[in-house]
Amino acid sequence: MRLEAAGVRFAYRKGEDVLRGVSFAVEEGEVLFVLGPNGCGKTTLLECLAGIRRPTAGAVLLDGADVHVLAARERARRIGLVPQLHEPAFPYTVLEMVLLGRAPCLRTLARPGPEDRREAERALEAVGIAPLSDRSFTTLSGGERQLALVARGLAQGARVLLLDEPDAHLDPFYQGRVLGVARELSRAGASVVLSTHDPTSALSHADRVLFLVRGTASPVAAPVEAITGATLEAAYGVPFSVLQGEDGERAVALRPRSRGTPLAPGA
Amino acid sequence: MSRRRAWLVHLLWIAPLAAFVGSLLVGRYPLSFASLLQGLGEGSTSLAGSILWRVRLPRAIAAGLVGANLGLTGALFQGVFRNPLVDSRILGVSSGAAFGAALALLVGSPAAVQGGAFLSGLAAVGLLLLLGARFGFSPLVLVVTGVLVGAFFSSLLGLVTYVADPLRTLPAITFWLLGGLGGTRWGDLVPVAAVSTPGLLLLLALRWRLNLLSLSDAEAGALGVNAKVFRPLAVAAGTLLVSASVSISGMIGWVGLIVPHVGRAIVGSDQAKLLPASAALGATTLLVLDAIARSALPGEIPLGVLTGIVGVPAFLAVLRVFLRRRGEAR
Repeated sequence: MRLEAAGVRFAYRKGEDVLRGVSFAVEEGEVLFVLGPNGCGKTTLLECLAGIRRPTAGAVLLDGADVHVLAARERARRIGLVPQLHEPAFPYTVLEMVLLGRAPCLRTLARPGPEDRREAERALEAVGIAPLSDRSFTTLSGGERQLALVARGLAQGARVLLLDEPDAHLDPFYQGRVLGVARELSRAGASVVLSTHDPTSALSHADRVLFLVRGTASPVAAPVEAITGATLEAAYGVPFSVLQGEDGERAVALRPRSRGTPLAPGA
Repeated sequence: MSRRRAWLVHLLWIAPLAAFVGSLLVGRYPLSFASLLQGLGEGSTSLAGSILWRVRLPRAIAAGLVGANLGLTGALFQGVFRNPLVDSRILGVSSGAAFGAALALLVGSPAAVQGGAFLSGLAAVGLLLLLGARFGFSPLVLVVTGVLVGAFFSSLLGLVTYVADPLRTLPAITFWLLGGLGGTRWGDLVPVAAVSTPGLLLLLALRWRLNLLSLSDAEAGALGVNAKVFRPLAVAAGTLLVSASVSISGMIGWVGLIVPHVGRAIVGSDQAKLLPASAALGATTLLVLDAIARSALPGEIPLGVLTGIVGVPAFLAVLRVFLRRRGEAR
């Protein structure tokens, strides 16, 4: 499905816009990375896209239809949000946690049945953590938790997945695994919007990249065009080098202000 | 699920029935199982029948009902507030009810105690929901306003006890506050059942969906549930149960706090299983404790005192398991 933000504005308090007219679109099968400093409005943007927060102006369109006009459960069957990691209050099993994704597909008084269980198990297989289904969610590592929450989004039946800093606090192995799963899902037809603080993973995993700085979005562009020393410095206010290896792979490094030039020709 | 767990789950449903029958047998006048059946058949014409029908049956039903309410609302509030260490007292409803009961005793109408407790408990809920509507229904706001409402009614209660006649009214107020089910009559049960049943049915019907409230509001929203609407609804239904219970039993602490943790150890965290399990465990606990309260000593031990004496060590045990699970205990 095509998800489009059309001039989205949002303010928690009147007159203090957190989002100042953000416009972009994610096509089916595409992974869009949102980069930007802390407090730039990434989480707010994702919550607006998910339909949890109603923009003060502008609209979020799903295949051309306003998501805030859809009934909450209709919307939740199409758009899944994976929030930033937090400690859950109770030790739900992984399967129970993923089954909660079936909530929008069930009538108010209904409880999940065998079919919902199968959907949840399929979702766990899709992200590659089926063997963990009886484990307590609280005993999982950060990376496993993140994958379980992605599975919960899949169990919703969502064709649009919004992931809020899914690679934060993860080791390089799980960073790669979570982002790889996001990419696989997009290849299977999902539209993925993912916020991150890691420009290098954007270079390797994104189809397109958007910078969000103080509530204003840059035009969407291919990663190699979007991520340069200049755009990164403009976003974060510190100097960066974009390095390129012999195989053409690029990586981003923070440049100490006092030191010299990039090791390899930067972009 | 292990075989041991499955066995425990079955036991969970048998336990309240066994405790119910058992609590009919014990007391100042012990009955055998045979005389129990005989007494039930004879009605109030025989001594056994009279004790059963007039005293023990209504009291056992009250203990089961109050215990089920306290257990279920404990599990409910722990989930709704995303806090494993709260129970129904967190909302100040008990304090509200206590004030109403004390006021009724002060103006000298013991018959109005139940109604007074219930109405004043509802007033506390009303105040809470009013404040919530003003400040938003986040767990934090509900806890803070709950504590404030509780403190307010506690002060009013203090005022009532201060002006109460120290020879006649004050002891009655004090005994009521200690909690107990002595002297429960059939007539007392009707309003409690009438108020509890709708709340109980609503919560049991919604029990799986209640899980969503233990996630963050944003997560619940992304799963199609508006926590800002659903949470006050669940809280209101839960407080109906609490104020109905308090109105006949007085203040009985600890059951609602500890029972859900035992339930979680047996059936897990899923509210769809935990709510019924906590109700069954709460009913069992209160039936057993009430039987002890009225047969251990020549006089009656106040039930609220007994739950505290048993509850504090039990709470320490729960705390230990809780901390160990988080790797913080030595």
